Amino acid sequence: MVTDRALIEKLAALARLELSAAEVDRLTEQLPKILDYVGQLQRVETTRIESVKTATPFLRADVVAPSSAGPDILGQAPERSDRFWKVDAVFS
Amino acid sequence: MTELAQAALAQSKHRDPELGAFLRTRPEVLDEAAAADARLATGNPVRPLEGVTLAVKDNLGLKGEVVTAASKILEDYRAVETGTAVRRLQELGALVVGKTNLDEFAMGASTENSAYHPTRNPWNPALVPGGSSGGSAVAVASEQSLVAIGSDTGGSIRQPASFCGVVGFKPTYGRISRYGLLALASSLDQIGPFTHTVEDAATLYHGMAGADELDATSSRNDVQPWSTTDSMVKNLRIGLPKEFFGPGVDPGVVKVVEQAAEVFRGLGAKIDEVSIPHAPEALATYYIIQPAEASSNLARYDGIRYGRSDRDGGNLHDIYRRSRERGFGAEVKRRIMIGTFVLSSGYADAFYHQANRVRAMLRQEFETVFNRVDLLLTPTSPTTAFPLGTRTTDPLQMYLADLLTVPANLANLPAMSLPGGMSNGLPVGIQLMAGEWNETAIFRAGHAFQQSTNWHTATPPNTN
Repeated sequence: MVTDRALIEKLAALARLELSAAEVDRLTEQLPKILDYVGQLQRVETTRIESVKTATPFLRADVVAPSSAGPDILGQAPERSDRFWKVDAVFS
Repeated sequence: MTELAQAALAQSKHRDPELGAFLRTRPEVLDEAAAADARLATGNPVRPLEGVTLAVKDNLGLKGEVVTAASKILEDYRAVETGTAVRRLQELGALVVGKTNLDEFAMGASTENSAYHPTRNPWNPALVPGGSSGGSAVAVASEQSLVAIGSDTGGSIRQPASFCGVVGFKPTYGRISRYGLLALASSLDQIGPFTHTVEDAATLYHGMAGADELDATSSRNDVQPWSTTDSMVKNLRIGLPKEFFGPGVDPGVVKVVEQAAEVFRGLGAKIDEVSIPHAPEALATYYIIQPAEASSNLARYDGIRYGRSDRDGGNLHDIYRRSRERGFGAEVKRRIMIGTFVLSSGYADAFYHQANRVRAMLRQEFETVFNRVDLLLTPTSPTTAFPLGTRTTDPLQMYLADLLTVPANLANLPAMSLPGGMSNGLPVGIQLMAGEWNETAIFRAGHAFQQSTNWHTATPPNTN
């Protein structure tokens, strides 16, 4: 597996992280060791395993009810405009 | 009740400058205690947890109060709601004395990854308390609160309990509502108590457990009652899974567990060696699934709706990238990167899906073993508490601290760490695991153990 700076930078872009050059260096060194360790699973024979059991969700009736979050869900918005979150331009 | 709250805050003033268990204590607790006194003065009945001082890990919110998950990205964030587990304990009379320190977003095994300050072990302040719920474990061990709660994703309750000489309990996945818990890995996270005794752990557990319509993953299964009169260990079948005693586990730790097995044998339990063949792969499985889920859960911290927001020119994308870059610490970024990798196109099958298949195999192996035995007895952690700074530069060394605790999370099982003995003057936790929904077997055996031993009464130096 190739884990080089280019891969680290690609992953950082996917993860929406603006890593510094020093962080890219450090992760370029650390990630291969961690991925080698967890990569040992590829040697485990799992072909007889069909599916993974997941928890059965506990669903309430699909009816409109007051939100427990209260009326001012925008109260902690870094920037807002009336009933909307305000953000910088999507394209610039 | 006021005296109890005052005593807890006074003890915190005495011990916490050195130990750093709390991110914030709550002076409000004095008013809440006075209100409880007034309630009782007017003839109201005493509630089951009346006046019990409770420390709460700072990834569990109280309405209107700051909750940070020990991250800079939530430095000023205030919880919109009190989570179900905390609310239920407060309704039973518990007094929340403060919010405890943790590894940022519960990622770590030493409470050194907090963005604010490290927490230190009351048995020796040069050592870590374990993590990620290190603050909650230390609060109880150093008697700054009678009990505490935390969250356990891969051992974050049990491992610090082991390092600090207290009881830490992770119930079955789904047993306690996670509503109000800042999520780390949603298929693994579970809330649970820290106490000195198994009896108190059971009391807190019963106070929190049970279905909650605000958490779709909380279980509707009946919660079995338990009382201390049910502590018969005679003929209980206890398995020692050989994979949990392998290389990397300190001989001093193994010895404590072997002595605990003898205690159970003396009480009439049947002890057998058993096997969980894929247990050695549990840690690798965990360090794929957990970062994958964490990277997805942490996508919500985007600088748009709440929390840290860096808007110094650029576009929407720059808000995301800069807020996250400056708000998250190194370990959180590392896990986001691992998680992003194992879920990424071209690698997801070999890593993420393979990990889920191994997880399914592990669950089957535990199911098979629990047809033969009632409980498993293992060490909680491969070692006793280690010195601050010795594992922070090598992430894999830190991950190895979770070796023996992650299997219970991957298999959804209830598991408890309780003080089992000492090694070189430091507490050693023994771990009891049971089948899904069989918490009662753990309480029964754990209580019997504490009736026959006094490890749980040991107090760290300088407590008083």
